[in-house]
Amino acid sequence: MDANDELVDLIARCTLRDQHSLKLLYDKVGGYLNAVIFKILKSDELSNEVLQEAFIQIWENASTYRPHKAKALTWMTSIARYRALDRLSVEKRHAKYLQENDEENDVLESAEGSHTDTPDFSLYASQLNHQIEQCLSKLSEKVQQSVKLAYLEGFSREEIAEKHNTNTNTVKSWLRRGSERLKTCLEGKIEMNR
Amino acid sequence: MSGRQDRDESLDSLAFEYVAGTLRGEERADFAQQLKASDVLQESVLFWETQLMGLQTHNMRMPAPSVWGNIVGKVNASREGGVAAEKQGFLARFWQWAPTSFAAAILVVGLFLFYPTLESQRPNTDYIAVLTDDTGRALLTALTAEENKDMWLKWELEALDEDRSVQLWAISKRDGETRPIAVLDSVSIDKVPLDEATWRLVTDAEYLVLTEEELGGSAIDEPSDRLLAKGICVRFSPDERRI
Repeated sequence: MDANDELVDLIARCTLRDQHSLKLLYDKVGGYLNAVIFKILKSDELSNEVLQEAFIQIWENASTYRPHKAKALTWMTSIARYRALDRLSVEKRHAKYLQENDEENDVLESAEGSHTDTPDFSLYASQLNHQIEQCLSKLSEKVQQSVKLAYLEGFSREEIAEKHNTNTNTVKSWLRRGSERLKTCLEGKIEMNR
Repeated sequence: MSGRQDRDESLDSLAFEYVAGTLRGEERADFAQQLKASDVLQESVLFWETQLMGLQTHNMRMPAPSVWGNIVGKVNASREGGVAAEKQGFLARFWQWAPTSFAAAILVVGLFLFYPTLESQRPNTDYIAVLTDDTGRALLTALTAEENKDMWLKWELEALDEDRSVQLWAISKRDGETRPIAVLDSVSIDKVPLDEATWRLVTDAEYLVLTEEELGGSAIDEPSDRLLAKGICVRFSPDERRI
């Protein structure tokens, strides 16, 4: 059984209200999801709160997970990220943090916490990483950074604009054109790998 | 470029921004609303969720020790709340509609009686599916034991229409195809012997589904659109049978 199958199995057992499986799931991916959330919220207190919410949602929505559509870790990461983004919209701390740390903190380079690998990061994950990095490298440096700041750090269009000394319409246009080119490139790679 | 292609690209770009997180406020809420109703948008969001995962660095940041305790507390609180609400609702309904409540009570008692009986009868449970209707109510629990290749059924349906059958299907996780497992004409059927081929369908199933069919089952070996219930099929390894 590979790492994904193991996570799928645990999620399936959560649908049967098996708390022991939820605990195993938490032990396997809690640290990873917390790191994902922390990168967006920049606060241990908030990321722990959001991690709790994410696990409750995983527990409650386990029956809606479709293994043939998404890897288990992708599904759980999406839940965690969307909860973190929801929290961002009601918290002002993110903006405050950015103001206070703008000079000393290059968010793309920061790597908080320990660096133990999560269990799933197999050939599939490194292939995905290779694929997207290759496709991103075909975009301008500013667009690459914008995509990473948004996805990994939870930056809004306004915050990206501020970072690049430009306006939000320009950022919107970068993201639109960037996503179109990125998709064309990724689809080509997916086709090649079939 | 056609108007339709333009619109598709625009929606795809919104899907990208939704996943990346730059779609905020009302724009995000509007998109989330559209997403619920559109398979195309769901596919697009799924594409970006999968592909952008490649950017994650997979570091770990251990949460505070109290986090797990809080999760358990909330899970148990919601479960107890649900049970309490169910009990309250049951009592209210009992006095209003005593005959219906009586039937429900019989079912609950049956459930308590069923599990010990089942436990003593089934040596190994290898696969289980709890099939629920679209309101989340369990209609059928199906368990299989590899040793004798039987499927055990626990019904929560009171009866079937006389001129109808229900049919159990397996949806394959390998190719997504739906294949028949058994035609059932009565909720008194609590055990179905499986041949080797049918057993394999269960072992390969991502879901089991229950449909209402003409008497005798689907003539074309395809499920009708009268879906009664559906449940994910879960495999238990030999040392982890705890249901």
